[in-house]
Amino acid sequence: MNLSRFLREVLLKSGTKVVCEEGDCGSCTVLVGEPDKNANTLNYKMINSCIAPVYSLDGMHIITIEGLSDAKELTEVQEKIACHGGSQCGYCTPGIVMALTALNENKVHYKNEAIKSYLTGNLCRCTGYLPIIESGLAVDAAKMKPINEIYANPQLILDLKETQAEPILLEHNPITYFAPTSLTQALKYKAAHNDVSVVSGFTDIGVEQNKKDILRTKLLSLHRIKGLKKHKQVGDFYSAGPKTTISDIETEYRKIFPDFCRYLNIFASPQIKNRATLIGNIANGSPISDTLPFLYILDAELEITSLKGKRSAKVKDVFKGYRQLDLENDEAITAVKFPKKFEHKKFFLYKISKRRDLDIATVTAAFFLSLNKNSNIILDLRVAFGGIGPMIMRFEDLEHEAKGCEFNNEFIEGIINKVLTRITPISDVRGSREFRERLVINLLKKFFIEASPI
Amino acid sequence: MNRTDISGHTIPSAGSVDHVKGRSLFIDSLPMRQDEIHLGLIISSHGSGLIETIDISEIERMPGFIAAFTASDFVNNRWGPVVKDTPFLAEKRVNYAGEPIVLIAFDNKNALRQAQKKVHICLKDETSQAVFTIDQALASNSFFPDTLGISRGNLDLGFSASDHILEGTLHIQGQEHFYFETQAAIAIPEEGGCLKILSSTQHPTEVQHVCAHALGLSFQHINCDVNRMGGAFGGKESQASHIAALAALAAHKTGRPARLVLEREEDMEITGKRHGFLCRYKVGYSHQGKIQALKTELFADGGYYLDLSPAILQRALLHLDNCYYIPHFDSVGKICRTNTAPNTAFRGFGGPQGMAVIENIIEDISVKLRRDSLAIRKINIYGAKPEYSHTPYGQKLENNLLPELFNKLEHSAKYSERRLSIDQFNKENKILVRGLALTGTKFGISFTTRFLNQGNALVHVHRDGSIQVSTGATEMGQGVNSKIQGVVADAFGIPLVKVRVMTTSTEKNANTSPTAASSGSDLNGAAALAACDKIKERCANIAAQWLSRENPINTLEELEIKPNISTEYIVFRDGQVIDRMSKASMPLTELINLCYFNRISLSDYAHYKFPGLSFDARSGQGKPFFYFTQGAAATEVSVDRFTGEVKVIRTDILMDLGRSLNALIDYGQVAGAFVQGLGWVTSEDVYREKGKLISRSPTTYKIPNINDIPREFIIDFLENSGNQINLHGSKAVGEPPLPLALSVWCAIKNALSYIYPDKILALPLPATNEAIIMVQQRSI
Repeated sequence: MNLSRFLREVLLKSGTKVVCEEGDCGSCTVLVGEPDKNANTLNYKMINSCIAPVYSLDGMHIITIEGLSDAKELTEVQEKIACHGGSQCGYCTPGIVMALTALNENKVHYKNEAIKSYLTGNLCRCTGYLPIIESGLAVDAAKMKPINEIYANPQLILDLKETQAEPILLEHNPITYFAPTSLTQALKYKAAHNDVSVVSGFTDIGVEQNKKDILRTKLLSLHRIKGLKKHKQVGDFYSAGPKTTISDIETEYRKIFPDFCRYLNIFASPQIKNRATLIGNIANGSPISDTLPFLYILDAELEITSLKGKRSAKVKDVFKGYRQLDLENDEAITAVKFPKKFEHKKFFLYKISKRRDLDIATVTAAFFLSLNKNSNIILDLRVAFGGIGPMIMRFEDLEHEAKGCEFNNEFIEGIINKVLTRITPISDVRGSREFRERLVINLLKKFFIEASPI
Repeated sequence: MNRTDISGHTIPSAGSVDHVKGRSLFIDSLPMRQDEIHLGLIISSHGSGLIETIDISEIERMPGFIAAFTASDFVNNRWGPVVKDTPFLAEKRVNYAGEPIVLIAFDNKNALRQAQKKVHICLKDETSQAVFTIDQALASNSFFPDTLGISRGNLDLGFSASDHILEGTLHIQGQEHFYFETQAAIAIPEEGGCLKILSSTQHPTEVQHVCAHALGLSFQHINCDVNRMGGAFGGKESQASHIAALAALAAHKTGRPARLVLEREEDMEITGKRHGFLCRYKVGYSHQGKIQALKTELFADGGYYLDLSPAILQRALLHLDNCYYIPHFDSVGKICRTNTAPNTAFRGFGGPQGMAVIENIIEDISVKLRRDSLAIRKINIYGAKPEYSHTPYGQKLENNLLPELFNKLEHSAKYSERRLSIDQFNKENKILVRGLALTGTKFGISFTTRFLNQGNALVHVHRDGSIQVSTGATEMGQGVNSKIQGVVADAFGIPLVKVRVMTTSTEKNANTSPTAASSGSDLNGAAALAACDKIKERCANIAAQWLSRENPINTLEELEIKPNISTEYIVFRDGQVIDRMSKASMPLTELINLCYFNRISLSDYAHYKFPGLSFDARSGQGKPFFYFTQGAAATEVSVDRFTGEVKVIRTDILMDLGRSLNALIDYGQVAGAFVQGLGWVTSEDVYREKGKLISRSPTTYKIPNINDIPREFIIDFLENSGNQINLHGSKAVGEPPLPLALSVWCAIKNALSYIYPDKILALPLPATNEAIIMVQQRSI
């Protein structure tokens, strides 16, 4: 059962609203707190409760709209929303209150851009958002009481820490959920069952369960395994582990791969990015993935671990068909490795969708270009597209042929013609085949203009 | 801008404190009663088909099963706001994908969710003969019988006097309401076979009537009560009755309270949307761009059942002229019958679609003449010349402020300066192209169906000085409760907190109209004020006697209302009742008790109607509207030449709302309406495959998010304190600003005209990035 249903139907706390039940509107936003590694406090972040199974939140402190203040009192955020017209019909309001409260929890100033960024995942149909932004701007952070102060309870933190150090085995017919503390246990479990889904933030599986009527019965999570670091540097690579969320990537790689991090801005809402992991996004293997085209041209690698040991494979080589990964039963992805040689390099990353934010792409593209100094001669060109067939496509032979060519209009027209003969886009709700073809042409043209030396 | 109500208050609007604490009572926030049952629907998977078998055997064996219902369980299975043509549950055939077929009841929600997948319906698929689009309807002559039209002048004369003629076609798509709270109702059996219906509806009276008719009961047996809606936007004007009647059936048959709350996808598939339109037009105009003649044919997509389509088509025709005087005018409209959900009311009610036609034409004339579209708008605007004073349907524009609105906005938005910088930007930038447009709105206030323009109110003054007011208005987030609260508090000179606006229920206010057509506050607020005035008149009469008493009044002698007492100088202010002549005063609460002990009624009921309405739909002439709400918007966009991505850089809006009843609420209505319109003209794409709705959740249907609103978004109201018509000189606000989002769409057209300076691009509405890219392909 997902958290929002549990709150509304079991605990009878109906303050948390459910509008879409697929993590796309933010009305069900709650805060979840986890013990800080160093300080004796909890770190709160916002998530969508509608796609979070209750069991996936074991060891976390959950704050709902009912928990922000007592019956009479209004918090600073609540008061400002009420007084500045930030609430009309009131249905999205609890989610908006939680999201605006999250700013203070993350010690972010109530400025226009930050408010918009934190509310990217909260839809509202009534206000036109303007009064909500004005409510946010009116918030006096000095009057905000941090949740750690509202619920100052050292014992709670100790309990949560203790719980989080324990493995979980939950068997509730028909679901088994296993979150061991050692990698060996995890790999053994995976090797013993051929229908195990490795899960993390449930941002996709939660939607599957609610909307696609797909019930995965054997779930394995790596989030409690000790020693799997979120970030490290190994040799020529930066490495991100199975616990690394998209939000973590945005923070940690901001300076290393600035273009990628800027691009992740439109990956999803903060609620999703706080839960979704990069490895989860890769393993999902969507043919319109936001991250894969970049990882393809980056020659990013996956560290794949089994009981027999570790191997590395390039991201671009692990896919063998529509959402099919070349992984053995006993293997799990334990890291994504970013080659250091591309650090600080300029990438051209595009995501085209009906709405800029909070949408699934129609076409995605990633390009890299290195030219000979003082000439237009191509040293290294890399091209990958998503949304144009059953898998992400990188055009390595064209890239190879491009070496030594002049980067000019004629060249790009040539590439366009060759790419067009290979892609097989479909027509669906996100765009027609013709539109996708046209986007491939236009994105290459746009890239040409943006990448051409002035 | 000052954002206060008429008494100068800036306190939270009614309900918002509950909203921010998450404790507002929506239908599905109400705790289940012990014996309450959960209802769910089985809907058609096909756009057209014959029902061969319905097999419920599997669910009957499931634990928790209570009942299953089909069409034959209703005494009357057909309903409709105009014509009773819509089945509650499909009879022999299904006529659209999403049409409800079976209603099932379980004692728990989990079992219900499972069971909804286990009812097996065998359909003979007839989608190959079905009609899903306006184009298909035109090809197969699939229409409802109504044809409407408006005309003036002589088209032949107009065209022959024109320097240029332009013909074209505009495709306008529908729009999903996407109210956050889905359709929901709880039916509770009461004594004597009666039912209480808690409904998320804009129209409790219709819920009452429809439920009674469905079950063969009389109206007195049903009481419908509405606390609030989590958004409605017209989607709960008629179609909430359908959902309520299903709940009523289950409660009536089982004797148990029954709850039906639609899932998001179900709601989007079952219920109708804003009407898509196709418009063919021929326009004649001068070298300067003065429109001489306009001939239009409108085709509205009605869906399979009639619902409110005739009135919506009517309003589209009545708004084709928008802000512009067109001497020779002829329009006809028809309603297409398609195998889709019955399309229904949606904020603007056809008006925005009509306005889109003329704003589109003006942009095209601007391309043809290579003249700024604002210059063309200004020479066509009502009031540009004294004779530009009457609409094509013959209504004179009183107190027309359009020229002033356009001029002030042109100035405050720095239109000319920005035009120059856009010209320059577009010469230099290879990736982006910018566009600018200033469009207007002249939205007619009144239901075009005259009898709906009435409201009533019931006011109780209590002995502690607090007041309860009930009207036919329903609260859906638009703030009508706050406005009525303000009007009543102002009438008695007491603080807002002393006034409580009660739930809307048919036992207190009967024969009400839907809270729609932007008229909720106008009609019901005026009725509330009239009820207050009746009570005040009695109280003032007593006060006048009491305050002017020379000797102590003999308390044994009862005070009575005396007809010859002058109450002219008695005012209610700051909790006091004051005789302005003698300066004598007494606390209001004291007067209330004085009245009570002297057996003077402290409650009253009043009725109000818009005066002076007369419109003949057949001839298309008359005065359909009490008044117009007017405004203008200037929007600058940038369009990515390669991806079609649109960014709204800046929007300036100037509205005339008379003397605003509550400027904070009106500000929110303007912002909200504009952004809802922005979604309609850009990203909201109703997408079907073989008639089946695919865009049926926020994953596939994209309403604007916070980053889609104009980067700079400036809303202001015209100073118009002299407005005399309507309640306290205020003006209706709900719908009028929505069509201002056409400024975004026109700005996109304008941006594209920089790439194709000599071509008319048949940009459809919405201008999705796909539409923007593909319209260029088609023009090459």
